[in-house]
Amino acid sequence: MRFFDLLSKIASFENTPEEFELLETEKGEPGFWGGWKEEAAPEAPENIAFPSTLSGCEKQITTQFRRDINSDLVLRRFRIGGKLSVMAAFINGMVDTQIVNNFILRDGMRGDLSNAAPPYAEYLLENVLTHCEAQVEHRWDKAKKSLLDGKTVLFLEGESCCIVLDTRGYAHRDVSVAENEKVIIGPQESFTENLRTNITLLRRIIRKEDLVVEFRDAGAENHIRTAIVYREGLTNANLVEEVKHRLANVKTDMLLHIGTLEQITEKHKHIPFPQLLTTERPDRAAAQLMQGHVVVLLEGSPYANVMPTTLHTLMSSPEDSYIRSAEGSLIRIVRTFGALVSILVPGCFLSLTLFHPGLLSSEVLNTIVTTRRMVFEPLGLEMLSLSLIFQLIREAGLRVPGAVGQAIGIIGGLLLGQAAIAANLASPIILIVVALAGLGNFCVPDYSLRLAVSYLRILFVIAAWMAGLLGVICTLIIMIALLSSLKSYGVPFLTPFAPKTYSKQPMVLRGTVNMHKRAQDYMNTRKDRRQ
Amino acid sequence: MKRLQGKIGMQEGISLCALAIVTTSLFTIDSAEFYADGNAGYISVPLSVLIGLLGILPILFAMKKTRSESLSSLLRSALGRGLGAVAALVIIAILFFSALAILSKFVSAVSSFLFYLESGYEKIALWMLATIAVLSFGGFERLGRTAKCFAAFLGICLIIVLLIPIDSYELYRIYPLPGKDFRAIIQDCLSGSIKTLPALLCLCINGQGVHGGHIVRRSSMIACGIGFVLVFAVQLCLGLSFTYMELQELYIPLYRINMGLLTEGYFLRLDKVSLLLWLIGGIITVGFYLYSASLLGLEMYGGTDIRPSLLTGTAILLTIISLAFTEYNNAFNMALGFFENYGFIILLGLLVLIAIIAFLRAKSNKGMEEHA
Repeated sequence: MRFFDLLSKIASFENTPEEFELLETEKGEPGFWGGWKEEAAPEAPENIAFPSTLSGCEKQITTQFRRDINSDLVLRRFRIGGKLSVMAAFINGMVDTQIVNNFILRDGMRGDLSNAAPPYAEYLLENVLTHCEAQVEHRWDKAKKSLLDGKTVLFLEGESCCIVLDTRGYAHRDVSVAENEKVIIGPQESFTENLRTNITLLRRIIRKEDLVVEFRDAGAENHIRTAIVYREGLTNANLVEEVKHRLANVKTDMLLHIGTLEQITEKHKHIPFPQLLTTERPDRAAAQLMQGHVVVLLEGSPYANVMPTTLHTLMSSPEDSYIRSAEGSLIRIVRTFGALVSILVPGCFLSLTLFHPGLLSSEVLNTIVTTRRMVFEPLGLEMLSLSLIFQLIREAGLRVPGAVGQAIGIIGGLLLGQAAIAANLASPIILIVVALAGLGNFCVPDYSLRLAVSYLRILFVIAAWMAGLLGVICTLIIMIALLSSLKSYGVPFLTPFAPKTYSKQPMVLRGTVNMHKRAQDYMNTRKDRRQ
Repeated sequence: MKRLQGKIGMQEGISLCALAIVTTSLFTIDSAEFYADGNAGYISVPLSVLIGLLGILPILFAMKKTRSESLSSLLRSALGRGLGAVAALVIIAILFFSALAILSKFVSAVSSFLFYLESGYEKIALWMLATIAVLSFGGFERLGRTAKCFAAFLGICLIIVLLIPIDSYELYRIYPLPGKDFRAIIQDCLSGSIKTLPALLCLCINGQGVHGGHIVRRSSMIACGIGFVLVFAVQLCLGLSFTYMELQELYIPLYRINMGLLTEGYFLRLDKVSLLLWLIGGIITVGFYLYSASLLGLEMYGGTDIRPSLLTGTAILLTIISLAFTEYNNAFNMALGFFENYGFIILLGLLVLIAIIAFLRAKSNKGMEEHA
């Protein structure tokens, strides 16, 4: 018997395996398709009374911020004018310690309270603290939120309130060159992750008293802030209300980038086209603001959402306005042509060779047949696979930093292409068609629209593979039909063309600068003429 | 009531209506019968557009007189619910016939001219009707804006297609002038009005969607003007390109207009490419008719949602088109022939009757109001 016990002990038979498991199944067998666990009941809004003693405040804040294990929170007690006990609370790293030292601690300790009588809060603001942005706060939850924002909270002995001082000074990236919306002529700076800096960049361009910036909680559990920027005297009030309404309905666990916010607030979630303009350029956002648009900025995101937008805006580059009208028009024509080539050429080529060889002359057909003689793949599959490989090279080039990324593009493009042709995996003519479509795609100035164009190209190839030019035409009509009924914050996506609105700004052709005096009619601005 | 109508502007309304008039007038002609005794198409087809406009004018003025925003409200106010429903049924049937005429023409043209390999008519019809369903399910707004996007482009393409073979045009081909005797021309003009009237009727049905009767009137006139010019240009160019004997043999004469000039060595066969462009017009026109017929049905027979009617309409069109290319081909062609030859009598008669009753009712109502 002992032997078996010993054996059991050595083999650890009696020990039940204990492994960490995150996925609980306590609520019974999981369903066949999985499914969400029951959601926890929403937290009731915090309604905690403000303690009137310093020790009460310290105890409350220590409990709530788990100061026993959370060393970020700094609590510093001192006396103002040797009379009033106060406690400064801030989160280490979020504040500028120079400001705290010079304008809270030093000013406070040197302060004179000989003529003051309780309550001291207002007196301190008026006579002691030489800080520009400070206010008295009576609500505990708001004081806590200010602390999390990087402000310093000053609790006062014997008073059920605190003083909140804006001492934010966390590290952030400086304004740098725009990487994704490059222009040759025009401003080069881009938005940063700092909300304040981004607003300053806008204010530096628009020096108007009616430029309004409204801050609000974005509605995520990480309590990130958004800023709604618009011109009070120009922007349509209904548009501003709609933006606020949609932002007020945001309820999500986390917001890290404005792209997530864009997806939550847009109405047509299954259409691949972007329904907002996402830009990293302050000059572009400012130009849109001057036309009566609304701009939404998110803390921590170096991009701005501009609403509403149209296909015409997405196909324009800020540079179009910085060069002469003839050159600008030419660039726009090339860009539109590039987009059409990117969407239609692979599908049309596939249809012509697979279903309608009678449409091609015998010389062209001969060339295609000769180059494809040894390729074993079906034409449609070859087109699809090469399109996907093109995307793969592009994606790989994007994700790898700097010069290595460029090298991947060149190596991937040249070597793989050459090798594929040599190994009879692809024909040169298909490679040309795919490369042409890829080049056309790069002409599209907006990144989201570029992705949509890639997506559409694949759809057109599949339609062409199924039904030839009939499939291409039907898909084209469906695409235009969907675009026709798409709206971005109440503005039809194909405006000012369909529906036609009064606009002196031609769409593909740019027009002279004089034609840009008036704001777009579809914006229904409060003032017809720009100020 | 979920009508999916929305609102469109005048440009969209004109585009939609003009596209429908031109497509129907040019692509639903039975060449063998139409050119049997000579070519007077360049006179009768444009004139039929004007007769169509004349036919709809009483309705437009009746709408103005009775302050009706759409055809359904005119039918209710003029004929009452019962008779109005019967009249609506006739109009819906005419719209369906017009849609079928266009669809059958394009299905057989695409199958014969575009696809080299054997391709089923049903498959082609299914692709077209799927597109038509997407268009019409988006409502009048989607139809109008899509038409606006394509109309100018198609118009320019049409002019280019007519300009390309300019060297092959010969004046002698349109002789003898006027090609047919005047009785035949008048008959062609009258029977041809059945190709214009459905488009104008659809605009009246969607009166609310184009911001009321006055916009319907203006849009109808401008659309008919555009239709008149384009149809005249095409018929004249066809007359200059082919003799009436040659035209009798051509299924869609406009499709062949470039053939006289094209030789081996051209990169693309432009005739086949242009057929695809005209197909866009055909699909939008059928979508317009289908949506308008469904809307009229919804407004006259009750209901809360237009989508079931649209779905039913699409299914009916698909079924009939599929049957049209089987052993029921003769029956289908006979019905279509009857509709194209005599449909105008029914429709023009009905429209005049509605207009007269509406005027009389409006007059008596006014008298009663004055008396009161």
